[in-house]
Amino acid sequence: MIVFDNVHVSFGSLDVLKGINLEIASGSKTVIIGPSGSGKSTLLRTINMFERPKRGDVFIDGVSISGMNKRVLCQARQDIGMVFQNFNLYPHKTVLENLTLAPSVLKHESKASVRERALANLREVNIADKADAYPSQLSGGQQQRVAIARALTMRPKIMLFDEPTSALDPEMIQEVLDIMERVAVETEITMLFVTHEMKFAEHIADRVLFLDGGIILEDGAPEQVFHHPRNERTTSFLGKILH
Amino acid sequence: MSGPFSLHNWQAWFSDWSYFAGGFLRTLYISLLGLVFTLVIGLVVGILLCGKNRGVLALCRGYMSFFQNTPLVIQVFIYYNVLPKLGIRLGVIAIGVLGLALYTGAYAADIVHSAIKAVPTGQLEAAHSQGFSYLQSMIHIILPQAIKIGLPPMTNQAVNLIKNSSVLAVIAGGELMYCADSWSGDNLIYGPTFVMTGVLYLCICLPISLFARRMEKRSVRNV
Ligand SMILES: Nc1ncnc2c1ncn2[C@@H]1O[C@H](COP(=O)(O)OP(=O)(O)O)[C@@H](O)[C@H]1O
Ligand SMILES: [Mg+2]
Repeated sequence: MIVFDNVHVSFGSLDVLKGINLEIASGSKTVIIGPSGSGKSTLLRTINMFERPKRGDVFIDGVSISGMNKRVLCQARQDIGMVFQNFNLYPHKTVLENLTLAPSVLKHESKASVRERALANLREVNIADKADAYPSQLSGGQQQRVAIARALTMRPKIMLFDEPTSALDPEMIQEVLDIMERVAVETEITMLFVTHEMKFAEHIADRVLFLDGGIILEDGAPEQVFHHPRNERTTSFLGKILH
Repeated sequence: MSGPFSLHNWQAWFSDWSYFAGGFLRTLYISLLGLVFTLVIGLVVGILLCGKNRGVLALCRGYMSFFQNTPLVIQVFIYYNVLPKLGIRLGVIAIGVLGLALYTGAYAADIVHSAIKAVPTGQLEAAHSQGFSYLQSMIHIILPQAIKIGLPPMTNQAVNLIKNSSVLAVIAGGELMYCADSWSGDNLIYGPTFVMTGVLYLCICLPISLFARRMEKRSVRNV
């Protein structure tokens, strides 16, 4: 379980998260929506301590992550996968090496078992035939599927997706959404998605949060948030997204 | 034929070729050692420059400003004439290696620093998100990419270092330029001596330059 306890995050004088209180159940799939600049990325990045709360704290399975020293923090991050808007694959490594690097360096597992798991995950995201290719030889959609497989190969408890389809050409969005849906349905991993893909959200989310100005304005099942929003600003935001 | 390039002068030079071969080898040796220490200095200072500690940054910047903005020949003179007065006695080769490495290292640090900065920030984030520490991220993810970016300019610095090793002639370094100086002074034969000395430097530097140019072309193609 992830618990936000009155979390405030600021950049200089700019208050970005203004007192977030939130409980995310283990294994749940949460979609976060909201206008640009509302603090969605910051909320995700607080979970793996890319940003530090100025006030309040985040607890993962009861453990405060702001109290961690560097060593423990690195250890904790091994269990928190992140998928970025711009993929951020390692360009000097092959697809397979992108998956095996961190587990073999950080988890001291045998080469063979890491490799086997990596290949299975590449099959899971339908890209096993590119195992020996380099990221630059892949399309954006393929790169993002590799990035998902890379995160999975660490066997995370939590996965954070920050606008995973926003940098993709339109014709590649669906293949990535399909893969994310499959992974979301098939695994027990706690997942948080920042995305504007409403259909995807309706399919896979247990819960949708609407974030605006650093505050959670709406929190409910997708059906409720999308079709019966309580807040005026949610209605207006959804109106803009759905044209 | 008479004059500076007379047949007699050429014959005289070639009959003493082994003297120059010794200088040539010594230039190679000093340059190679100098290059190794240059890379070490460049790597350490370049990585420190990526940090945030103000004291460390000021120290690195100070080192680089001093060594980039004074002539190498003066630095070498100081090691040769001032260090012994402070009780530090170094051989000519050690002074040569130290002098070249400290001087070229100041430039190498800049190269390493900009090469690391040129690696997109998302790479460090991806590495951190997987649980790599800063040092592990550097070793496995950032530096391998930075090396590709920094190799062509670093190779140019290697060429500079080799050519700059000629300033050791002023402290009787025994390397190629010193051989040229002393042999031509003794025999009063300058033409062939300096032409051939130039050719010998060219023999070392040109292949390295060509290699650098090829690397540069390749990295442009890979963007
Ligand atoms: N590292 C940073 N330094 C300064 N300001 C930042 C930084 N990261 C984000 N911000 C600012 O914080 C606000 C929220 O950013 P972000 O969480 O990325 O929003 P979102 O993902 O919802 O678009 C924005 O105004 C953004 O400019
Ligand atoms: Mg964002």
